[in-house]
Amino acid sequence: MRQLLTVFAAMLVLASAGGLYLLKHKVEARRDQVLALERQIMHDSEALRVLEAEWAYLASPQLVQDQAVRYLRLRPATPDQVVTSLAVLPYRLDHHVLAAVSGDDIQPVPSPRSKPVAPTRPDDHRKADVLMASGETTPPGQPSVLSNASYSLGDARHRQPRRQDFGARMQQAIDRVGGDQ
Amino acid sequence: MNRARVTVQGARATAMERARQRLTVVALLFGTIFLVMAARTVELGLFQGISEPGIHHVKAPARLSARADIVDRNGVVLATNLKIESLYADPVRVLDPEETAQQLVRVLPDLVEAELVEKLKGKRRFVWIRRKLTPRQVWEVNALGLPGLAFQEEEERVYPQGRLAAHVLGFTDPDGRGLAGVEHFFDERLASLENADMPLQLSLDVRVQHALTDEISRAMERFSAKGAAGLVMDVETGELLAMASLPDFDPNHQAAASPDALFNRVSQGVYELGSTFKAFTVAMALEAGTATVSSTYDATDPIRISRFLIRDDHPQARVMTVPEIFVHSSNIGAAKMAMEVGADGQQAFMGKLGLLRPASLELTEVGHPIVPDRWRDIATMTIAYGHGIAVSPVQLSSGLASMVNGGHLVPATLIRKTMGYDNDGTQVISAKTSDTIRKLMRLVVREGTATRADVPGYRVGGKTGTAEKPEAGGYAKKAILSSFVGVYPMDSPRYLVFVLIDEPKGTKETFNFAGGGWTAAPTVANIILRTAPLLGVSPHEEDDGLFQQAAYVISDSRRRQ
Repeated sequence: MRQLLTVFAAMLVLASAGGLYLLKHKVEARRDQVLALERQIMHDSEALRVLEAEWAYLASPQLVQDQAVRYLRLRPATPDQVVTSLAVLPYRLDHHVLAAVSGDDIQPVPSPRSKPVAPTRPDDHRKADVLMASGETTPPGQPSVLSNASYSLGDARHRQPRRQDFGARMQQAIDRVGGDQ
Repeated sequence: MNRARVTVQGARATAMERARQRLTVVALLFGTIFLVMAARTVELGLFQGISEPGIHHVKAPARLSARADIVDRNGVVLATNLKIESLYADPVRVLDPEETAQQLVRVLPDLVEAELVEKLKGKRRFVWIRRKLTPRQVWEVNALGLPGLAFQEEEERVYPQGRLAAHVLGFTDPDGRGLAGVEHFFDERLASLENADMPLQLSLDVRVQHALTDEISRAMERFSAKGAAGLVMDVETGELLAMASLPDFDPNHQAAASPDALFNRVSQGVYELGSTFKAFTVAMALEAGTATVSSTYDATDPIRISRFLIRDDHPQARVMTVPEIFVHSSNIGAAKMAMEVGADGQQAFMGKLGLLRPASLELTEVGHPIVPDRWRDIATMTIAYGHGIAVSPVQLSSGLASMVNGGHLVPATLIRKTMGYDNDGTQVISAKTSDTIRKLMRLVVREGTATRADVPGYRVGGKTGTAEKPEAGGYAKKAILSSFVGVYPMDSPRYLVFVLIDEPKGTKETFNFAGGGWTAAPTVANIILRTAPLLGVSPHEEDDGLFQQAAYVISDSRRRQ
């Protein structure tokens, strides 16, 4: 009994010594790994700071403005162009309504530098365009879809462009073609 | 014999008994100690292993740079610390000085090859080749693979936005100590180690800041002015969304900047700002009860007091109502209104608006206002239209913001206020008076001296100021300070835009006029046009009814003539 206890104790000592040795090595390996990771994180965060600074520089308003002036044909928006009411936005129409609406009814091309109010009749559209073209608001060098020479101001079919929002106009178009909404 | 044996046995037995007892005590003692140790081992191993102080926590230092970043209200980096590599050489280890120099010059074209060869042939063990390389240049030098070259890491404060908001940010010395601007004001906070990872968030918005700087620099160029300044302020919170002073400097190379460029005209400069003060005079008279909107004042003849003559720049030469005095910017009318309130009342009112002490802005460069030593009648009269008192544009803007925001004065700040801050403003005028001032300011833009400040849809209101610059023994006729303070949208004011142009010259387009209505007002209009969509102010038709009451008073008095 006593001998058995001694043997057991000796084995326990050997086993725990061996276990401790293995554990120590594992911990050291893990520590090296953590250190390497820490170093990597430090390096990466430093790189991140450089990139953030570079981004702030490249996206600084002065630089963006210079590039925009050089490469884009966009101009600053005017208050007229800011849409403040959903009523001026076009409806999304179902397929069968779209099929029933004649091509003349939909002219979704907004005139540049003006509030997006889409006309329903081609006459309205052209009339508005002629007015636009005669005004000073047309930017020079813009493609001249506006000044369509074949539609003179004297054309009898021309009516005054109605100041109606697009929703109402579209509703009229739908009524006219008898859309079953 | 038997007895002796018993004795012996007795003696032995006693000795053995004692030994056994002692052994038992010792064994128990050791047993207890070992048990305690075992229990402690188990406890440490199983339950407290993580907090064991002996475990070595591998914690690399978070960053070499201790100084915190500065960001704008949207988190855009305005100032940051970067590791910059500087290239040096150990000439003893350089194999071929000529070859090394030749290759280095190819990568770093601004080096002189002959000088470089000289350096690399020297006997010293350390020579600088070039300080502060970009990451790309470092990569290229490394790619050369030349022996004897090495990099030294250094910290540098970098301002990626360049000149933008230079006067707000300030700059640091090579050791990273703040010398101007918020870098100086918040030096301790920025340099403290525990805050290194927490950026300092300013109230500025780089987009608004750029729009402001761009527009005032254009105005400065167009009117051949000596300088210009401007700010955009949130009238409710007092936050400055932009603040610019021209000429400016690049904080990355501040050593090259002239003292004039380093001077902050918005907070440091104090100026006699002219007619913008009439808003204070009208509010003061309405608050004191010495005038109502329909009170009239005779502005037919100039006022002569001691050796001064108070005249109108836009003379109407008739009896005018309070709105007319404001809209036509009558000095005579304003002077008479102020005299009714009196010197003491005016001094108390100006003090309440914070115009008599330096602004509480988070900058070291804050100018001390110049106020009269003794508040005589002549001072009361001239201060009524903004002469004889010099304040900084920041002070004026905070004061005017309180005139239109419902009457509470909020100190101007450069630090972003978080949502749900407590409104720590003090009530300086009643909400009713503030409402009247709003209408009057809108009228100035609709039909007064500042029609060029109008932006369709944004309901701009404001007041022009054209002040002659003081010179030895009086005022210079030719040198003027033109300013305009605009507020929008006027039916519920949110932002205040102030522009000051220093000594503008009239041009052909302005018919040689250089006053605030001709120079500063259109600049403010441009700034509003550019910034309103960024700031979420939507354009819409104005409610004319709001301004009819004030407008009636004007047309009434015109009809009576």
